[in-house]
Amino acid sequence: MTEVQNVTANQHPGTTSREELISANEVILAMVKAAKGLRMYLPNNPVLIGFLEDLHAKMGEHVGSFGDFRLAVEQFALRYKGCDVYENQDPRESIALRLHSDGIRVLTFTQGLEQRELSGFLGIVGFAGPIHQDDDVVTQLWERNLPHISCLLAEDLAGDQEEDQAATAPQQNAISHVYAALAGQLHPPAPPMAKHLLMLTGEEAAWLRKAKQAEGHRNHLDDVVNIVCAVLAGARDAVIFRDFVEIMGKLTANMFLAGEFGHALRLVRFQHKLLNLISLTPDQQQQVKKSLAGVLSERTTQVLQETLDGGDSISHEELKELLQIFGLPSLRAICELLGRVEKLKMRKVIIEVLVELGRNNPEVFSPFLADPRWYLVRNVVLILSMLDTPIALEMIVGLISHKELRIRREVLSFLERSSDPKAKTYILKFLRDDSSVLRIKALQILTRERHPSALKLALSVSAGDDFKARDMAEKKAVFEAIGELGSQEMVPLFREMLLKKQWFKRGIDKDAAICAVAGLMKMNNAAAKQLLEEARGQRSLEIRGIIEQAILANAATVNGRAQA
Amino acid sequence: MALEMHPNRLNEELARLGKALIAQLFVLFKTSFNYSEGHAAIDQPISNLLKVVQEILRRNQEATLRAQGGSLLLGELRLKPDIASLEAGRFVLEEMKRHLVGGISFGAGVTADDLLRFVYAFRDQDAVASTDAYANLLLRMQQRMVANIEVEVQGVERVVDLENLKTVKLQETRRNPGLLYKKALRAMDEVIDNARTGQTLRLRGAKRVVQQMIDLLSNQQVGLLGLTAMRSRDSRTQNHAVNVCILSLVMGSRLGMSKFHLCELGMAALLHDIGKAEISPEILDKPGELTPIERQTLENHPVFGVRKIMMCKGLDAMSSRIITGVFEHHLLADFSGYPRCPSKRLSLFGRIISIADSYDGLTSSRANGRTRLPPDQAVAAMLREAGKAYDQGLLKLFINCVGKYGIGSLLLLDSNELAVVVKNNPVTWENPRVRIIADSHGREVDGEAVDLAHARPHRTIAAVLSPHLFNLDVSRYFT
Repeated sequence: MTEVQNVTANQHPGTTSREELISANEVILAMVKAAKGLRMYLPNNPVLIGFLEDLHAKMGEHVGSFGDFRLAVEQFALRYKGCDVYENQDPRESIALRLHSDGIRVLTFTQGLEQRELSGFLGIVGFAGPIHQDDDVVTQLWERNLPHISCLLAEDLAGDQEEDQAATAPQQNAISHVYAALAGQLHPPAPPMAKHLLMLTGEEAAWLRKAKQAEGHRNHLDDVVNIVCAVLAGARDAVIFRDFVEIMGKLTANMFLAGEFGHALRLVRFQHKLLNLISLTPDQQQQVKKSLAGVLSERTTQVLQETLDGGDSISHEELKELLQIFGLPSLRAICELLGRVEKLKMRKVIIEVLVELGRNNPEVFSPFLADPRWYLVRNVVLILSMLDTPIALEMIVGLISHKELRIRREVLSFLERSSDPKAKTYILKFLRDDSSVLRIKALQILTRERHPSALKLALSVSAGDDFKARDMAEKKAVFEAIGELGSQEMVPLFREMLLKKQWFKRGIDKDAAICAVAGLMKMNNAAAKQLLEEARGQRSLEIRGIIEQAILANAATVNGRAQA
Repeated sequence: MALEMHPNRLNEELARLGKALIAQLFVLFKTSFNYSEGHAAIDQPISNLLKVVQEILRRNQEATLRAQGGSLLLGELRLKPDIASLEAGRFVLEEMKRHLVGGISFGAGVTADDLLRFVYAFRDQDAVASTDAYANLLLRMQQRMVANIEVEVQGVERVVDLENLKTVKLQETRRNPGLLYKKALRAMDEVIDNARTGQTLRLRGAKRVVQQMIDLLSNQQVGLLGLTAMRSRDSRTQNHAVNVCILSLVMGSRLGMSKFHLCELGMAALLHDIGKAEISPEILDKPGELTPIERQTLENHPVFGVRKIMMCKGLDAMSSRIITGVFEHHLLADFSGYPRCPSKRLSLFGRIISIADSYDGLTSSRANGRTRLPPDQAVAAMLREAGKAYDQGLLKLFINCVGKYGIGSLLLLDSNELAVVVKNNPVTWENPRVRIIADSHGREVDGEAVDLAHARPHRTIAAVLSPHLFNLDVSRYFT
């Protein structure tokens, strides 16, 4: 496949000179190069600029020497004065096919052609870009305003025959009818009209100029939104109302998707106002509600999230208003949005709205607690925790044994914050959680709350078979709890852990020592300090170090308190 | 519903279906070459093709594959080939060419049986293309009783011989307002057909025509205006739409609008009455007065039009301008018109189209109990509403464009000659430039163009007539 044909002496018919054909060939070569360059380089790339300048120069030379550069367009080829100068059979790349497919049959470049025209031309025909459904090469070339590039279309070639037939047929019959009809149906002309009455005054001319300018700056979306709102506001016919509600719903969603949040908000507000019109029938109200509920789809939610995290197209107040209007029918989508948005302030706003929506009826969140998406469930737990009602508590505790750690953590946090006395009892269940982090936290909460069963449970845990296998942090936490809750009574236990040598071992178990020290630190009384002093003389350097640190820490705490 | 901020998404979906159609047709043709009728191997390709066809029809689109200029189109959508579809596309094109077939249309009720009969009718063609190929194919389809599938004949492609081509003449032909007017009528017919069947509105043809009209404004404005004397026989012909488009463009041009804005104005004007596609001709063409319900239906056509565009076209810069024109063209400058919505905004486009629409309506329509007025009386009637229903300045501008006696008007002179107004007199309204088309004895003549202000012998206007009442073609006098 040759894009550019090399012209030989045998190919030039007629009186076209060899020089002319070679020049034409060079122009086409430069054109193909520039077209490829447009695909490969950015507009400001010097290589591309060079190609275009070269093309412009060659075209200018040719037109200056030989007149208009005219090409016949065939399906895969371009011909100059009967010679093929370009051929490309690849339907994806062929310039000729692109021109031919849209009906162009003759292409002419004339004197005065500017470089920007060539660039514009090649930008359209040089490669297959996305073309709007109402456009083709012909319409696009027209819009680019290329006065020195013209084309003839296939329909132009077919037109002359039609014209000839129409133009020559006699009209005597019609004329005779005119005279026959005139007998009874004369229309005398209107009274004379002074032309000066039709001259524009200065004011009128100024108004027209201003109107023309304003037209150029009109926001078309604004106009469409106004029209749709006006139709709905005035619609009496049920079918028109229904259709335009549907139109408005889709328009609203599309505005979100296109990032036109101002318009989207306006449409949402309008639909909200429409709902409150007393003239609406229940059926019509349902239609509007359904339309609003359909706006926050998966796609719009994603776009909304990107906007909320990305820029400041929507203010907090606008977001709040938007979500309040969407309300309960869009609860799932709003929860979804909360799950995706990362910006803290926006999350706060969303949470606020969700809390408001669920305040009187937390059960609206029930369906979401079984959702497979953990982040959604977690967010719902967060909302319920903020509601902090008995119903909310009941809904949440069902998730204590949820397989997802992050949800269980959220539940535990809720139980911690909850003012309901029953909540603390549920925390006990977390002592048997699979996650040591949650077990630790649960124990810490119970300890802090001085739960009556806490000490017993802590001791039970420490005596368990699996306790040795637990990680250090958890062991420490258990003995800290024991120390804090048990106080004086636990001193013997700690003594044993710190001072008693183990059978078959040379010294004190290090883990036991660390745990004991941790417990004694929490105990923080005279007996604890005394025991620590007593244990100071350990043979093991490591354990001695731990004890020394604890003593120093204690002393520092005492000094700190004394100074305060 | 096609309401998309990015209508190209719908296009992409159709393109996918179009390529699937080509691919399945390719497989079906190939299979039919390898297996005889009745073989089980043909069943799956037929079933696959049927699925694709039904999918296209379900979207309310034409399930028509056309070959045009080396490309394949689904309806009017050109299917750009990619690596995967290159071979299939080439093959299908070749096969269609061999049969001299320009298009294959699958109807709504097409069945697997129809496809089976069709493909073997298609197959049974000599390898070499002959001039009777298409006729033979039709015969075979008839013999096999193929239903719900139609084939169009291939258009004749003229190969351009530039050596003998009188490009200058063709350039002039292209600038022929009469031909362009007919092209505009055809383009509008296609759009209205689409609108009536609920298909996606494709406006490429209309846009091309509007662009060409704009090109003619600079040196063929008189010719274009003369053609606005052409009238519709009834609601099915689109002369009114084209006339309003021309009149609006002339006004826009006089206002100094850019080409781009003129294109938008032209499209909005051309499509301003698209809502009437949803109203029955019984109402539109009813000669007598309309009942209140009929009147209400008619007055809803701007709203129907907005609905049509939004549902069948999608929203983009062009369609939003069209929607404005469609909705506003009957509101009137003082908002005394319709539809009666709480809307107090009126764009310049809406005002322009309103004036153009009123003028053409006053001078043409006798439906719904209206009286058709000659152009000069229509102008007088509109002037009485200046500053009320019509902006005064804009109306003046309009009248300055068309003149008191609209270009293309038919005049009876006091000499008993018939003449056609071909140009307005810039100095005095009462004496336009006319072309004599019949002498005082009523004989058709190819007369001279005469400036009535300076005519010797002196003539005056005795009566103003409407040429289309007598099927008189005035367009020829402007070429």
